[in-house]
Amino acid sequence: MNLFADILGKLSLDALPQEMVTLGAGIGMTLGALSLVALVTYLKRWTWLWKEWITSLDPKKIGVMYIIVAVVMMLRGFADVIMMRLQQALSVGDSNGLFTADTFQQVFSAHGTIMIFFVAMGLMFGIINLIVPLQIGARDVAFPFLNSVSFWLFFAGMIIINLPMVLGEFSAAGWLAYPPLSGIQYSPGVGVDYWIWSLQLSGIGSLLSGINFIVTILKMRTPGMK
Amino acid sequence: MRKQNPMKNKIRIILIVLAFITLATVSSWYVSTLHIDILKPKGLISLKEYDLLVFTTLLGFIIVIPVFVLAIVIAWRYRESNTKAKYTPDATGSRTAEAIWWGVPIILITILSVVTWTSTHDLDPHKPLSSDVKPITVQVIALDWKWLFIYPEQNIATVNMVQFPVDTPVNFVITADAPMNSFWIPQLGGQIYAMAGMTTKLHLNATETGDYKGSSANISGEGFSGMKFIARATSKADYDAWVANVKASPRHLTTSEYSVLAAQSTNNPVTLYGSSTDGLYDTILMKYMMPATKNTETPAHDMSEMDHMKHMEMEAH
Repeated sequence: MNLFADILGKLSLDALPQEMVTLGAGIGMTLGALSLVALVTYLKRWTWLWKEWITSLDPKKIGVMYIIVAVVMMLRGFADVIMMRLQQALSVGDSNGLFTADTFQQVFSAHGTIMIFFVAMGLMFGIINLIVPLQIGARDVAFPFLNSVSFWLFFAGMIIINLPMVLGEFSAAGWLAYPPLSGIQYSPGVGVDYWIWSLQLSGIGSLLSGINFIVTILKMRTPGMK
Repeated sequence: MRKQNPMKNKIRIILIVLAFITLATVSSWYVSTLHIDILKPKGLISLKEYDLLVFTTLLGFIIVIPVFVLAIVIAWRYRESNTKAKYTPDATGSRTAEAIWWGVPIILITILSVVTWTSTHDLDPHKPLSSDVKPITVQVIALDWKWLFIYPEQNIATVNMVQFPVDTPVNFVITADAPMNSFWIPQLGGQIYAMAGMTTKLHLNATETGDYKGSSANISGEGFSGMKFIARATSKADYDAWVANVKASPRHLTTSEYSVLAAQSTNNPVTLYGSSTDGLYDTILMKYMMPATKNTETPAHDMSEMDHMKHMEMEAH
């Protein structure tokens, strides 16, 4: 029993979605993920997926994976912004619109965080992975395995930032999460925890990627390229 | 290559240009019908800020407009099917072109730097405004989730409403007893942060009477959207009458009344207090200046911190 408490921390059954909108989004996302797993199983593509993509160190493939994640996250970011504008359009006069203030601020925080850290950054690193080695005539980046680690840290951050949709809540402290609003006193829930871990993990990934590409550009240019 | 009818081409260009002009006209007409507070300045500071906004935008247009026009014109002129455009694959550079695209930005950046330097000092929010009229002081405290205004000279207080005479400098002294907010009356001047344990200052002066929207410009939690207030600039006589009216209010901002008010609440109505506890603002400010006692594990650590502070104080003397 203690083990469960240690693993789950503040999470309990109440963490499952309560509002219709988040419930719908949570169910939709879970179904989407499950049908993807079913599709790969049906097509018998697990080995291929593992060998050709998941463990691949090819910067072009890593670049493509970055862009796929970023585009999927862009769909989420767009859904968030549509919800925000809808809420603002509907909460006129006495009407309070679709969401509570707390849900709105979660959506608002999610939109900013996701669009910057998982769409803009993902697209940047995707394009860098695709183009830079070609531009400088390098066969690979300086540290190919590190490049893969960076991507999977980014991916882990992306999973964590999306977990609150089905488990717990998103941070409602805005995407900049200024203390003291983001501190334990004013944000006692699990939202900021998710936010911090997601950004730390993907942050380590982008830091390593940055180092990787600086070294690649400095040391691996083709002969004659000054 | 498909041969194109030159007449048809011309009509197409004219149509595109017409579409651009229509779009520009309709969107500028639409923007002009909107009530955008910062574009309708009613205060000494906001008028200067508005001038800056217009000046820098126009200065930016000197670069932006030619760049966008040239981007389209060059792409069109040097298209493959245009045999009249000169094709110079061996071109190695142009002194004139270099002079233009380095020279013009350097000149503009120089102008912008001078303007930024002078206006930053001129419009420093902490700088008192010079005026023959005696300024009034208003202490502003951002609470969860409402604005408390204390008038120390008049010994009155209000919630979510602040009134002051027109053409009179108003010295706002701002803090928070809650997460960070930002105090903003767009038609009178720019925003400034309200933070617990520190004071920020904002000096404004309304040049016209009227009700101006005030709000928080920094997200502060659940009731953030209700953190709106009215900033009312009236004649001196109306202001004095209003102060007398507030003084007659049966509510008084005692320490216990303040702790009720400071508790979290949303969408608070305008509340008037006939009097305010002396030094309430300083008490709220100092509350956060003390060494932290709530979250420290050992009292010994606390003591050493206090000793350290005393030591620092002695050093300062």
